[in-house]
Formats: sequence, C-alpha cells, structure tokens
Amino acid sequence: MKQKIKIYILFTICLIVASLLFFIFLKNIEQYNQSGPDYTTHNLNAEYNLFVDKKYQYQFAYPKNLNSNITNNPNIKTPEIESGNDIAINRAVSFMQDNGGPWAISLFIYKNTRLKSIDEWFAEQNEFYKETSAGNVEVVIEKRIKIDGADALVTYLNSKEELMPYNYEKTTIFIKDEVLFELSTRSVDHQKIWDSFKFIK
Amino acid sequence: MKKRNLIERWSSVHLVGLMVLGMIFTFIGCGSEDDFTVSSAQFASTTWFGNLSQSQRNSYILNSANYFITNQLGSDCNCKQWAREVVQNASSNQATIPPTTPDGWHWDLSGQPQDAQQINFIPYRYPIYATVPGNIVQMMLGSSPHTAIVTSNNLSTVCFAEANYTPCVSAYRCQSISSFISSAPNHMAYVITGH
Repeated sequence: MKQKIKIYILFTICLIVASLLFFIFLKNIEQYNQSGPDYTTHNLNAEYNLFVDKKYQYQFAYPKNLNSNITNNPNIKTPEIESGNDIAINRAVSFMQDNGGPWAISLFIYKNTRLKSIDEWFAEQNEFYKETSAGNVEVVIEKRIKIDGADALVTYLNSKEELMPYNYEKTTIFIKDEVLFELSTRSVDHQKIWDSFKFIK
Repeated sequence: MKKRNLIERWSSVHLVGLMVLGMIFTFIGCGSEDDFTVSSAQFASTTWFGNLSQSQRNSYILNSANYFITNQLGSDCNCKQWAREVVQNASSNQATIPPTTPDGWHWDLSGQPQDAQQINFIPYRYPIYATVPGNIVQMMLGSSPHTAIVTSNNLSTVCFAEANYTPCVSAYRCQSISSFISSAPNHMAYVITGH
C-alpha cells in the first residue's frame, strides 16, 4: 500500500514537472515565431507597432502597414570595408512599403564607430559624394535635434542637377555609447519616428 | 599576253582594295561592347556615344549598370543619381539624364543639348509595355519618386537595375507588369539618345 502511494506521488510529481517543461517549451516557440532571437515587435496602438532591438538596446514605433526586414552583418557598404576604413554595418533594419517595397524606414547600426562626432559623419559623407557624383550630390543639414537626449543631425541629399529637392527623404544621424545610428525615413511621419526612438537598458 | 597581264593587274588591284576595306571595318566598324574606358579623343570632336546605334547605346547602359551593381558603385542611396552615374559611365561622360519634374514621374526635356527622349508607347496604355532593355523608367511609388533601368521585358515580367529600392543598395529586381502598374500607375519611360 505504502509502495503504491509512493508510486502515485512520484508519478504526479513527474507529471507536473513534465507539464511545466512542456509549457516553457511552447512559450519559447511562440516567442520565436513572433520575433527574432534578439528583437521583437509589439502592438502600440491602432496605427503603430513598436520595434524593440534587445541586442543594440533601442526601440521605435513604425507604421503597422510596413513589413520589417532585419539583416545582421550585412555586407552592404562594401567599398568602405575594402578601403580599410573599418566601417561595417552590424545590423540593417528596414521597413518596406506594402506590396514589397520600396523602403520607408531604414536603420543602419555601426558598433564601435571610429567617428568622434556626428559632424565628422557629415564631412565624410560629403567627401564620398564629391568623389562618386563629381560634386553633383551633397548632404545638407536640415536641422539639429535630440534623439532621446543624444545630439542628432537631420540631413537629406541635394542634387544640383535636379529641379526637386530630396528633402522628403531624411537621414538622421546620432551616436550613443560608440554606436552610430543612421536612421532614414521617407513616406512616414518623421517626427513620430524620432519622438518614439528610445534607448533601453 | 597583253590581255592576260591586264586581267592579272585588275585582279590584284581589286584584291588589295578588298584587303584595305577589311582592315577599315576591323578597326572602325562596330566598336567595342565591353570597353568602359573608350576615350572620346578617339573620335576627335564628334560625340561617339550619340553616333552609336540605339541598340548599342542601350547595351552600353546595361553593361554599365551591371558593372555598378557587381561592384556596388555609385551614389546608391539615391536612385536617380545612381542611374545618372550609370549613363555617364556608359557614355564616357558624353550623356547624362535630365532633371525630374516636380510631379516626380517625368523628366524635363527642355534643356540643350538633350540626351533623352520620351518613348512612344502607342498603342499601349502604359509606357512600361513599350520598354526595351536600356530604357529608363521614372515612376511614383506611392509618394516616392523612383528611377530604374529596364534590363528585360517580356510583356509579362519586367526586370530592373536600380539603386535604393532596398536602402542604399544597387540590385536587380523583377516583378510582373500587372503588379508594376498596380504599384506605379504614374510612370514614364525614356530612351537615352545622346547628342
């Protein structure tokens, strides 16, 4: 009799433990399906979702109708890497418009940036366009703002051969803890994106 | 004897003439499709790009686009500027693309000299149907103007070489023509004619 009770108790404990483990397993799968290994998206309100990057510790709101595309270690800026300037994009986060594109929000992250300031980024960009476009294209500073306390430059490209300015497409630059953020926005409410951008611990 | 000598002389004169003609066509005739660095000095004061056939100009543009994409060259954070640099490279800086009009989907063809023409897309309703590889399409994608070079078109699927469709990347992209018209009903197509 005592033996039977012991078996029942043991069986019950095993059942509880197995259930707990199974529950945790299911939870992990569910979490993985809704996000990547180190980023998640959450519903914010009727119009926006919140993108949370746990690896680089920031978050911002993006329009619900956009489709996200996150790439780690993308080899996009090949010329800069090959030139030995040691500039490598560590993460590219882009949000494409409906029907597959084009992009509406783009964030390039460079960790351990060798740039000392956002003004140094501005100078280097203009040097780059001076070479590639024979001086036809230049980067223009529209204004200086704060992104969650970090100094930021709002810029756009200006083409001397074009009649219309490209100021609808803005690239906002800021540096936090030696991580350079290049946040480009178009066809969206720029101010909403800037105001929602927060660094997280 | 005299007659035989005349025949021999006539034959040798024509033979030499044919050889000279052959040499002329070898060195001048068709030009090189692969040389991106052809010097304009070779043709003195003429615009060699403008003197090519349209299919040759289109080929130069396609080769230039492929070169830019393969090596990720140019101002690839700006689709229009990138296309302009592709054309400038293809033509050894003898042709360029005119500015976009404020509506975002036409080019201002009023300048001189003019290196582009709007294509004739009659009897199609939409210009995209009439494009051939090497033509350039100016379009509105939602509220964003966009420029892309046509690389293929079989009236069902169209493919482009373009920059900044994906952020700051130049690449090829294909889509069905029906999908293209749905996403960019306001578009116009142009051919680079040089001058």
